[in-house]
Amino acid sequence: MKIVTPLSELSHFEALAEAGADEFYCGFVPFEWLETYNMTVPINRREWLLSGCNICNYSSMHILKRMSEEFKIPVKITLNAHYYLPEQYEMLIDIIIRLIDIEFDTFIIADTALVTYLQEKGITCKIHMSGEAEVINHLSMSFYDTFPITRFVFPRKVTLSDMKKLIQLSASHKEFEAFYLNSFCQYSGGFCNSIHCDKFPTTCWLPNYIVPISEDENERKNIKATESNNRKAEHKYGSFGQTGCGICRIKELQEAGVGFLKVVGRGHSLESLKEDIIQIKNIIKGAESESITEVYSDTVRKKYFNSDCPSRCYYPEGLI
Amino acid sequence: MEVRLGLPSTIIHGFSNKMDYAISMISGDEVCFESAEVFHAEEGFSIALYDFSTESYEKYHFKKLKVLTNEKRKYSYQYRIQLLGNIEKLNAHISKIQSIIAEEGESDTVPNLGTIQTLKYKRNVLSDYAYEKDGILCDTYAQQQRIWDAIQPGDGFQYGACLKSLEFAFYVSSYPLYESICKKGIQNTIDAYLEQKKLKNTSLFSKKFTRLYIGNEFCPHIVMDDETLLYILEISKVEGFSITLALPYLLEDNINIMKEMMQKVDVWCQKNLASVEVIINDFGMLEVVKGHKTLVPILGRLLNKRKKDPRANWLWGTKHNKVMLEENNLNCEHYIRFLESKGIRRYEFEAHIFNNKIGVKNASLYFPYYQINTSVFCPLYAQCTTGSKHRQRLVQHCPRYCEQYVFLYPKHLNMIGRGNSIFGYQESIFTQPSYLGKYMQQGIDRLVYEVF
Repeated sequence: MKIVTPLSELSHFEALAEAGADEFYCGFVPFEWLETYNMTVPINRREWLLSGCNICNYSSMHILKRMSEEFKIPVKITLNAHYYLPEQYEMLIDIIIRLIDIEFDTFIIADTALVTYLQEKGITCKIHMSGEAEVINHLSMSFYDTFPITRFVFPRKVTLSDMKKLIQLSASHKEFEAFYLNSFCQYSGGFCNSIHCDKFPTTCWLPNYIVPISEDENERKNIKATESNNRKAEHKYGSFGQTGCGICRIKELQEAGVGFLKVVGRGHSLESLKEDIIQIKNIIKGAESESITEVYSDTVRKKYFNSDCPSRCYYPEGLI
Repeated sequence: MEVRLGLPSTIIHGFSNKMDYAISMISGDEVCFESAEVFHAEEGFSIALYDFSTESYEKYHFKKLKVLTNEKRKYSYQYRIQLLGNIEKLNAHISKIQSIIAEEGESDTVPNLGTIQTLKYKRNVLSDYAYEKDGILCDTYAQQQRIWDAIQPGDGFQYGACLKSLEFAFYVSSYPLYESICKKGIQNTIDAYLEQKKLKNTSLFSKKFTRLYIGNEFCPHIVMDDETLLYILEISKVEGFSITLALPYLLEDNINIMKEMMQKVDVWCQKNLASVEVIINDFGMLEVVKGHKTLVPILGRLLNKRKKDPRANWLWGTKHNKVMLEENNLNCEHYIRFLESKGIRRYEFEAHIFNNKIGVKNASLYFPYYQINTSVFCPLYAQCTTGSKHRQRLVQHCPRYCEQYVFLYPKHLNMIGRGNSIFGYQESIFTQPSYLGKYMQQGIDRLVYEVF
């Protein structure tokens, strides 16, 4: 199992590599894009202007390539906006060609129009279908058969048993990546048309509350009272896993055929990411020495959360 | 005062000759940057700095500079240079940015960004967005609904000639409305609904509905069963309504269910010499409808992605770039060719906060609700069964909490959380005949009135 690690800044590379990153993904927004489009029409789903989520110059990409070669850790480039403007496809082709010249050959894409455009223009590169494309069934996976998709990133909110089915029904040479840690969204990425920016919380984090449609109590089903926001489980691993977690399902993900574990975190602090990677490395190592899936899941939950898991669980159901 | 700043590379960029650089620090006339190759000082140095007031980059060029230090590192060269010439404007610009970045204790940052390390900025310095209104919500659903129901196509609005070439579709997406159609028929259901909303005698609804959209594009649990669907198809034949079948994303376990449904609809169509449109919100569904000649695939709203957030007007850069938010990949010839090669024959659009620039033939416009967010795992189910929206799982047996509960959002944003989705409310079709007229000039030939 490989850890797919977010890279927000060059200065994070060595520390994350030493922590155990097996592969990096990073956003790239060159100046010509920012100058023309700001973040109004973003190049990827990290749409914050003030956070250091993206690398923004070719000079840094050359340096990054050297680091990648030295550590023998591949870097994949995230171009996973849902869509682009007509004029942007030509600019994207230029950007991709320049990155291919620097010897980055893999791009994480969500927009089917970009996938088709690359093919039409005869651009030779590998494509990872982003989780933002919401490929959640084997028919939509087959839809992309004619394109050079080398990996599917399962979106958030795909069950382990569905992953297993999809992998079994897919072409054998494909790779599969699943969300593993951080940022479990309230809604599905591929269906989220909310803005992600410095000024506002995403729509799902706006103040909201549940109310009955009818004022007649007899017309309603009983529901659970809203859980207090003050619940703070004490455990020694701090914020690890608190915003989204699938750590205990490591063996089931492996059994399903997932080979790559996605850690969300472009824009996160280096310290928190380092800790994430170190712990995941330990979890992978531990999984190799325990043969019984359920036993290992329990061990992980107990170790990290004292068996009181955070609410945002990626895989509430195990592999059935 | 000397300003020493490390700014994100989205805000500050260095250039020389044809190369671009990440500036790690700027202080007075000194600049630190990293280069992949040896830097040639004789080429001069340019800096592009984001200007929050114009929402664009200001460029500063220095023909002369002095290299103060040059450190060769393992992967790069680290340079510290001194800019020679007039740096007053650059420094004034940097000071302006510094005044925006909040000091410790004076920031008013965006809540719930998780662990993303955004620079803190003084919120109100930069925005006329009414943050305080985000805290004002209606007390009840009835109150929220009354606000929207009060928006009426009033007497002053005459749509008459404008509506002539439009097809009107009535969209029902929930079991209570399916049941109403089964009991009372389509036209009676429409009449009762318009009556209840006091819309029946308005100019906008003087046009007769001739098409029924039925099903749900966002949740597989509210798509009606085959028996109900076939029954409604029979009613549609009797009443003379065309049918568009609304279907959501395709769960792996629902593939066979969908295949059976499409087979039955196809058989019904062949028997009745009819055709039914099927809304495709998942590319996998193209395979399901393939081979059924009576089923006409049309591209649904989940595959017509846009920035539809009611606050997008206040996003940095939007002021000057609003027109950019009117287009998406459906304005690309190559993509339309591709979709048409897959059998797509119509495209579904929504009236939302920005105009849509329609670049296709055969396009529908939905109103008054537009989708903002949808989740495969239902947040409402999670809230109702666990007390937390975050404890989500794939719903196997849905008791349809969405018929009884909704999430209310800040009143000024005109949003509502229904079932597994968040919708916005856009009133312009009701209040501006010219708004509709402009869309018709662009090729909208069908209006879809979506009712909840």
